[in-house]
Formats: sequence, C-alpha cells, structure tokens
Amino acid sequence: MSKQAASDLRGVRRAILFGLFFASGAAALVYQIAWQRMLYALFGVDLESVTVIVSVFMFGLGAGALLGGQVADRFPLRLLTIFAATELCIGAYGFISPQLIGATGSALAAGGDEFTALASFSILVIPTILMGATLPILVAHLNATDHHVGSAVGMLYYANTLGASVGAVLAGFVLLQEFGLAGSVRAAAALNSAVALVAMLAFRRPR
Amino acid sequence: MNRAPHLLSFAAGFLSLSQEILWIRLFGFANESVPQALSFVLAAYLLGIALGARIGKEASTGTRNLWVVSGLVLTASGVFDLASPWLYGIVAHSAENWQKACGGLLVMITAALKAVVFPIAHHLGSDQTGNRVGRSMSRVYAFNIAGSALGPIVTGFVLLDILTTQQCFAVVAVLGFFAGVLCLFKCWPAWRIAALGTAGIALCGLAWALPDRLIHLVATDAGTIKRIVETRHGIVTIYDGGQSGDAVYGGNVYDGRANLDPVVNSNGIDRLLILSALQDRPRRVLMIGLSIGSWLKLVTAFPGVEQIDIIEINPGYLGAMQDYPRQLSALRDARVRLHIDDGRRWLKGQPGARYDLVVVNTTWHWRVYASSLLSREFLSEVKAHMAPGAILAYNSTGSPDVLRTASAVFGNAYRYQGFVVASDHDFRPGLRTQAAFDRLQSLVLDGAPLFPPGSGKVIRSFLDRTFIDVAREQADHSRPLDIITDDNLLTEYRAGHRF
Repeated sequence: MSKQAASDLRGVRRAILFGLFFASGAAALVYQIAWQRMLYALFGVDLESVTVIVSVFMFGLGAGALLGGQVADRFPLRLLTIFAATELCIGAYGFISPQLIGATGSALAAGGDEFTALASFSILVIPTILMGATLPILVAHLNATDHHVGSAVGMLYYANTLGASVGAVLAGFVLLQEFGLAGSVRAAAALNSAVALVAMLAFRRPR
Repeated sequence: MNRAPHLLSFAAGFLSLSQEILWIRLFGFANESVPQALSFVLAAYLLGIALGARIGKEASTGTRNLWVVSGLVLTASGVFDLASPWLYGIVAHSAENWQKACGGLLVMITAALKAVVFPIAHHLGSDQTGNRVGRSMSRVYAFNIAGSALGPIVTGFVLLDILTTQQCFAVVAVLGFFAGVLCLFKCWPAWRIAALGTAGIALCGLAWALPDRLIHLVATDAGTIKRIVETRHGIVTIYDGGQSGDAVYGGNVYDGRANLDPVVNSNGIDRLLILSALQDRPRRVLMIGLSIGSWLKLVTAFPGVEQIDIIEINPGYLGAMQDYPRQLSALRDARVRLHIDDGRRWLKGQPGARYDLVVVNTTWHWRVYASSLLSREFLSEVKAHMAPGAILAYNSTGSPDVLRTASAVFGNAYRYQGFVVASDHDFRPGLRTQAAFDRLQSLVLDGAPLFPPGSGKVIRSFLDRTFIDVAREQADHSRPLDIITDDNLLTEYRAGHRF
C-alpha cells in the first residue's frame, strides 16, 4: 500500500471513529435525560433527589474514566475491540433498563435520601462507568499514532459533546414526544448497538 | 507530580456545570419552565462545550504558552459570565424567537470559553509517549468530572440557598476570573496580575448592587412586583393585584392569588368551596401544594375537619406568605401539619394513611415534571390513600387529557370549571340539594361568615355549574384524548406547550 493510500485509509478510519463517538454521545444524552426522569418519578423531583441522582451519574463517569485509563494502558492493542464491547454492553443495559429501574425503584422508593442514593447508585453505576471509560480508551488509541494528547482529547471530546448536543435536541423535541421514556431509551440502546456493530466491522483486524 | 493541570481541569468542570445550573434556572424561569426550554439550554451548552474543545485542540497543538492561553480564556470567561445574564435580561421581553436565539447563543459562548481549557489541561497533565498515557489522561479527566459533580452541589445547594441568582452568577464569574489570574501567575509580571485582580473585585462589587434586579428584568410583566423570594428550590414572585388580591407566580407562571372572598372569586375558589358540600365529613384532608396558602386557609373553614396534612416542595412559599397574615395563620392551626417534601414521594412513604378529601394544587400541565402529579400512576397512588366515599379534586389547567386520565382510574370523574373531581361514587346530585346551599352559607372564616349576607345568588351560581364528563370533553376536542402516564409524559411533550 502506498503512503498516500495508507494515509487516506487512516483518515477514513478516523472519520468513522469520530462518527461513532458522536453517535455514542447522542445516545448518552438520551439515556441521561430519560433515566433521570424515570428516577424522578420514583424518588421525587425535589432538589435533594435531583442532586443525588446527578451526583451518582457523575461518580459513575469519573470512576469509569479512571478504569478506562487503566484498561487502555493494559491492553494497548485491543482498544477498539474494547470500545466496541463497551458500547455493546451499554446498549444491552439500555434495553433492559426500563424494567430494571422499575423493579429496583419499587423495592427502595419509599425511603429517604439515603435510599434514593442507594437505588440510583445500583441502577446507574454500571452504565455510567462504561460511558466514562470510553474517552480514555479512545484517547489512548489516537495518541498511539498522533503522540499528542491535547489533540486527541480535543477532537474526541468535540465529536462526543457535539453528539450529546444532538442527543439533547432529539430527546427533548422528538423522542420523548413520539416514543415516551422507555421507547427513547430503547432507541438509544439501538444506537449503541449499531455503534458497536460498525466499530467491530470497520476496525476488525485483517486475518 | 505536578497537580496544576488537574486543578485546571477541575476548575473547568466546576465552573462549567455551575454556570449550566444557573442558566437552566434563568432561561427556564424566562420560558415558564417548559421541558423543551431545559433541553434547549442543555443542547446549547453541549454545543458550546464541543466548539470550545475544538478550539482548545487547535490551541494545544500550537507553540503558545498554554498556561497563558488558559489564563486569558478563563479571565475572559469570567467577564463574559458576569455580563451575559444581563445581556439576556435586556432581550428577555423581546420577540420570543429572538429571546430564545440570544439566550442559546449566550449559553453556548459561556460553555465554549470554559471548554477551551479542557484539551489544554489534558495535554499539560498527561504522559505523551510513555505506557501510562491512558492512566495519566484519565486522572485529569476524573478531576474534570469531580469538578462537574461538585459544581451543581455547591452552586445548586449552597450558593442558591444564601444568594440570589444574580449574585450566584457574579460569584461563579469571579471564581472563573481568578482561576484565570492564577494561570497567569507564573507567566505575567506582578503589576499585571494586581491590575487584573483589582478589576475582578470591582466587577464583583458591581453585580452585588440591587441583588434581585436580574429577576425583575426577566420576570413576566404582570404588574408591579411586591416581593421576590429566591431559594435553591425556585423563585416565587408576588405582584400587586389590587382588589382581586395579590397574584403569586411560582417559576414565573401564575400560581394563585391571595383573595379569600368568594364574591370576588378572582382565583376560582368556587372550585374549592363546593368540596365542602360534596364531602360532608372531611375528617382527614390531604393537600398537595401550599402556594400562598389561600386554599389551605379556606379548607380550615370546612366543618368537620380534624386533620390537614399539607405537602409543599418549595419552602420559598413560606417566605412569600409573610405578607399575608390570614393565610399564615392557617399554618398555626393545630389541625394543620406542614411537610416540606415531594408530594408523590411523601405519599409513598405513608402507606397506611387514608383521607376523606384530597386536594392537589397542580401546576400548569405543560411545565416540566407536571406529569408527576397528573399521571395514571400518581392517581392510583392517591386512590390507594382515599377512604371509602372520599373525594379527590385537582387542577386540570386546561388539559382535556387530565379528565381522560382521571376517568381511567376512578369510577366517577368529572370536570367542574378547571377542577377535576373524582371519587368512587357519583357525587354530583349532592350539589343540587338545599343541604349543599346551607353548608356553603354556613361557612365561617376567622369568626365571620365567608359569604356575606345577600350573597345567595353567588352560592347558587357555584352549585348550578355543570359537571363535564369525559364523553363531553372528548366531543369538544378534535384529537383523541389520551391517558397521561409516567412513561409518555403526555402533557409535557406531545400535548404540551409549544416552545
């Protein structure tokens, strides 16, 4: 393969990666909005409940970021496979999440703030850790060729938050209106599954 | 290890999420808390972050001193954060689309300015080539998330509880400004730093004057504002209402009036008063939504009431009640127990409680979270707390789907003016009796008859009004009515207010 062709291929793969992370960001915002609304119905919309739920969400993302960093350093040659698997897991969780939130919430909803925290934690910890892990994994992947963390973080964060912005519009103006909370979550889960599938196909190793 | 990039990342997250909380509050207030307004702010904010990250990426690949870049961007961000709410205040009452577009643009810029430092902080704080890239980068990222988590807690819980929205904007702006000054500390001469610091303190002082001016500027133009009560739970505004009684606005939408005179009836208290005729033994009463306390005060006049549990989510109304001694006195009534809580959650926590009369002062059906108190699931919860023969009454606020939902849960549900009244039995004939007339005429409030002598016609007009059933409601609307559920959030989205 000529240098030019290799460079073109790298450009295409990079564009696909940014597109996938864009879609992942869109799905994440749909989840965030829909899951929070499901939890508010169970635990109340007073400021305390809202803050507890948002904090648990952030805790999961933070823990996921640290875990993602460890994983990225440990498996530097399998980063895209790990990314695809992570997206698949988020999608799978998304599909079952409406039932899971209903069941967990019913069991713990009658308590005070500590129960809100416990139930929110048990519901949100897995998917938010997975979501938080994706950025360090992809940064490590891009940095392997670019050797510039600022550039990798900037581009990936750009793609992801641009997708998240579209996700906020989609959720607020289309999905919730047309499909309700559970339907919106399933749409996001389908998007994550598609991201995983495309990632596996586009970045599979040549045999 | 040099922690400065981690702290820069933390500051970007903290400032960013703090500003987001404040913008959601201000923009939501100006746009009557419709859920789409909140999505719009979120989308604009994320778009700003995306653009800022893109700019930061370019900045980090150049040859500039990245600490100077971060310092200049954050000080500029501080100045912009201080000015932007006022710029928004100026356009808040202009054409609706213009107001939204300007709001979105301001939100986007404020987010972008903070996000510029995000890639820079990661670049400064990460191993570039070693085998610890993932770990080192993820630590900087975790600091950003920690700041993002702490921002809403400090701003939403602490600052908004002790300061006005305007002052909180100023505090966060000054924090951003000084974070920028700290970035410049190593690179700039002392005199420049001192000049910048002085400018920051002066800016903060400016914003401190007239602490609720911003809310005055943005609030609905419904007359002269007599009082603004700001707490972390929301903003309550009281307008001078003259003979009709002062008007109370919660979150910038009409909530009720201080009027207690059924002849004036400027706040539709006929809907509440007929309940004393429909339920002749309201021993235990549950009320969700205190507002200014007018409804509570009137219910204390119902004969036979032994206990009233009233739930209010926003304690700011207690501050707003201070100017209304008659309403305030209801809270001192030995039969009244006030609970500051989410109504739905409180009810779930009292599985054994049963009530003879339930009154829910529901907010406008199109406001965010309104479906929590209108959905089939909520009505089923209320039904489980109603004693045999009990009556439920709540505001439909003009949504025909509210009656459709009540009809799906209760055997008997009808609309009386804007109220939906529901029960396990047909209560309508009770309103046409002489006993109902006598009951209303005998109501006494603060030792004086509620209906003055000669107001028989007024009482009769209250009792003669038609109850609308769901078939008639459907016939009056061209679209099929639907049941509001926790899942479809019908009145907030599909059948909600246009944004």
